[in-house]
Amino acid sequence: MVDINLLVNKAKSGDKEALIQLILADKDNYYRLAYSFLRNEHDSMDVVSEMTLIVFEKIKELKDNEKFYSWSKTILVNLCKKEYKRKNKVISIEDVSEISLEYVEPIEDKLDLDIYIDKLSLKHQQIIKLRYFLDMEYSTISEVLKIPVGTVKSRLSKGMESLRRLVEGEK
Amino acid sequence: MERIREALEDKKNEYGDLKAPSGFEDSIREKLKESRYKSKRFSILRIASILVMIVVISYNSSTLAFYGRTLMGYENVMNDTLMGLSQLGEGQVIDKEVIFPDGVRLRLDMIMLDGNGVVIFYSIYDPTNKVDVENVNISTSIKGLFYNPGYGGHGEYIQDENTQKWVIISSDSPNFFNQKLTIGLNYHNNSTYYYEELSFKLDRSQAVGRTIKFNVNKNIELFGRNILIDKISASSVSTILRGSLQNIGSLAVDIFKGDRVFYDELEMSLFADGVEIDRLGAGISTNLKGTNFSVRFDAIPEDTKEIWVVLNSLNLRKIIDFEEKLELGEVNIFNLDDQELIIEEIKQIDGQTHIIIQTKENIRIPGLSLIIDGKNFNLEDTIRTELFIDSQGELVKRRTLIFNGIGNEYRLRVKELIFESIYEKEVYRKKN
Repeated sequence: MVDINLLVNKAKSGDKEALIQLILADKDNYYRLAYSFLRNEHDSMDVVSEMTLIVFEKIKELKDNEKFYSWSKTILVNLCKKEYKRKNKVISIEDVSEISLEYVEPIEDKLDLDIYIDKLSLKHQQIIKLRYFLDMEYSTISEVLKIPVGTVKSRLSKGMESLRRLVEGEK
Repeated sequence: MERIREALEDKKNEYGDLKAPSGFEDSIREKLKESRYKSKRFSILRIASILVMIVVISYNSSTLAFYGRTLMGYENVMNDTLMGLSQLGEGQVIDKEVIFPDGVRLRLDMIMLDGNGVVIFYSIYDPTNKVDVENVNISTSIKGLFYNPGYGGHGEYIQDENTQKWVIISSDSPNFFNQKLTIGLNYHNNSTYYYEELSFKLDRSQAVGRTIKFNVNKNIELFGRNILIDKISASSVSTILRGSLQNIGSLAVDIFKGDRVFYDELEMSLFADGVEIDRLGAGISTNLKGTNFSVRFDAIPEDTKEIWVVLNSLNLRKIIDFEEKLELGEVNIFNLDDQELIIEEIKQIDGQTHIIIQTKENIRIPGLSLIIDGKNFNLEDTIRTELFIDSQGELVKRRTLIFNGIGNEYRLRVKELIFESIYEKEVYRKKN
């Protein structure tokens, strides 16, 4: 168990080791969050590293030390969105073709969710991944995305409805 | 939905098992070496600004206490912008209530009026505690002179106080000729219905901040049609993006051709200095001016230097009337509103008919049914959805549709087509 307050104060005074300790204490969750957007180890580690650098340079702006984890994850989500959009902009037909090969023969009984999730708008993808893939509480999502809990619930409901319509196709 | 829940559960387990790679620590250590950050001392200017803030807060403490009391209990249904404005004492206190015949009361606590609409704060409660207010449903309508806007909002039931708290925002602002507004209240609890009205004067001297409007005038082509993003209206409460999906000329052409076209799932994002502004609601309406849309976002921060808008997605829904015979044992190719629908195979399995169809990736066919030996069968399930690139390089979606019946003569009936567009492109940018 790390003393968040102490380590954040140290990081604020320029102590890199303190920041590394803070991030390592929750490293699996940082990695999962990045991976849920980018779905490969290399890109996920790139954004987590980028986040670490930004967090170090901006940590003085964090007013409530206890909010370190939600604050840093907000930065991570924004970096993931930026990277996701950048990659989607340069996607070529060859890339699509390669991706499609994964879905040529899906297992009949098992729903391959990624194919549908990718078709949702980014904000709906994001909310479904945070809530269901990463099992985050509404209040945590609200802190990470900086939106009210009511908006989290309504956005999730709308996202799930869009997902249902996609999965059920014509039905 | 059950299949989705199962798949989501699988995903949760999959991510729960996911561990950070072994090089995690080395990677973040290496990145931190790039930092050229140096610790800064607490500046005199910052201390001075804190002192000024303390003075300002002390000066306004009586106002804060008053509004804090007035809007108590609304914390969970207000966003940060409304919370900030209410703490600054913005808005017009109304404090009027109606009593329904069963004793339940609706109290209109406050409104905030600006150039983008009216925010209305109201509570539903029963001081005698005889009625369980959780089950009470009151739908509202906002009425003025030539003013009958739509609205959206949030409500919450507070169990300890047996009270509902609501904040609703109208889609438009009442024009200057409206000196008062009326809220129509349709009350429903079990099988009890009542209607009451509550009127109040608008005090424009207590309107919130000022509203800045500017033209965007950006045209985008989607589905072979022209979409216009017309203007942005930014106030202290919200930011509204307005535009047109179809002008009156194009609407008239559709009506003349007998086409019935609707738009839905309009998704737009607004960014201010790189931060996405929360979307509060959206509406699409068709009237004599054409088909217009408005998307409401939270207020843009005052010191914003740059904003930009992203059009994420839009669906176009067309009502059609299509019926054709299906030839068993053959590939059937049809043209539906200039879109190719290929029925690759028709199979009879265990008393069910499975048809494998393919269309362009962005086409959905919600109103699809089979007429088997003269009897209509609605779609039962869709399985094995897959995407691939066809010989023309187009992204194509193939899926198997299941119907609960078999027979000798098959006809395909389609009543509706949906064209989906995932656009995800920036459509407007403005620097201050």
